Amino acid sequence: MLLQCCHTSSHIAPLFSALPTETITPDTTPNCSAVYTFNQYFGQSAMAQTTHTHSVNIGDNNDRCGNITGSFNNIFNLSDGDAQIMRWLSPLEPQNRHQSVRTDRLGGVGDWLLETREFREWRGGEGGANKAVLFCSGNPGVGKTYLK
Amino acid sequence: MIDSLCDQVGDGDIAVVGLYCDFLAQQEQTITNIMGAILKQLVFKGGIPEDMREAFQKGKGEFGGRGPLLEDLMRMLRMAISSSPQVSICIDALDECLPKHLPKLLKSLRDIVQESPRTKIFLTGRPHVRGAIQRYFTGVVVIPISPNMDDIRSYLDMRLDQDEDQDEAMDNDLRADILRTILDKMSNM
Repeated sequence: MLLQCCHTSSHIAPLFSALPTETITPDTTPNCSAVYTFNQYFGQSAMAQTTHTHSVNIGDNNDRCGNITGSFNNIFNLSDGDAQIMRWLSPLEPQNRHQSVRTDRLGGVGDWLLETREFREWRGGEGGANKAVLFCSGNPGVGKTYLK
Repeated sequence: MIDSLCDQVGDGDIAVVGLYCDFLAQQEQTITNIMGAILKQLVFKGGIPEDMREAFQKGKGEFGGRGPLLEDLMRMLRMAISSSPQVSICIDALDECLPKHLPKLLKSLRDIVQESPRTKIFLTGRPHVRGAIQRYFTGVVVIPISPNMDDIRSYLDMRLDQDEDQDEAMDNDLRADILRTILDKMSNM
């Protein structure tokens, strides 16, 4: 969910404000922090916008982590037409997998990576064709997916 | 990683998009679907542009509904990226992408970087895809990820604390035994 929050999405803002608090079950607790982060980033102006709310349940073939938490994970605040365009662009819904990864992740795991010189240089560098890519290489199960 | 980059962004000027390759979804993780998924995340930012609506309407009317072509997606992606000061694209588990899709994916990413040099790309994968990446990005920076003992220890602590099947057999000795055995095995990975 935070993934979307980072995109200054006025489309999903009303979703948060419209979400009845009683639907936030203990299972969705990680999502609550996403809401705060969202507010922190974009403030009340985005929240004040209203658009037609429409729930779209989208099959997610990019998820093998079992149960997806939260009822609003599969809800996009899009008009019918916009939802169709999103489906047309791609049937993949990476944010579902992202949500289950971030829910299962243990705090602090992988933080060492952020301190490496390689990461800092990549993050702070000018980029360009030759320095654009950082590749984390490792065998199966070493925790690449769960780097925060 | 996506979350770390998002956390560091703060001002909302930088968009972070991501995708998890998955061998169970290989068939549908085609290059067009992958680029479409990346574009979709960027579009959330600024709303759906008019030319995307037109392309959609046009595609809908052809052959009873035609999906977007890669060149259309790349054109729209270039536009979406150019309207953001910086975009970071994170793709997990490149090795789980079908081998026939991987070169096209890497080439498309290279096209994006050449077109928009501020774009940053974060990839993960098993060591054997390194060669493929290097064919497209000669200056790729590689960080080897190996099991981090501190990370594993805190994970095991958490799992042992949460273990619902605990009975009297569990004591500090057994706990230490479990930790030691697993950490030993991990250090040989």
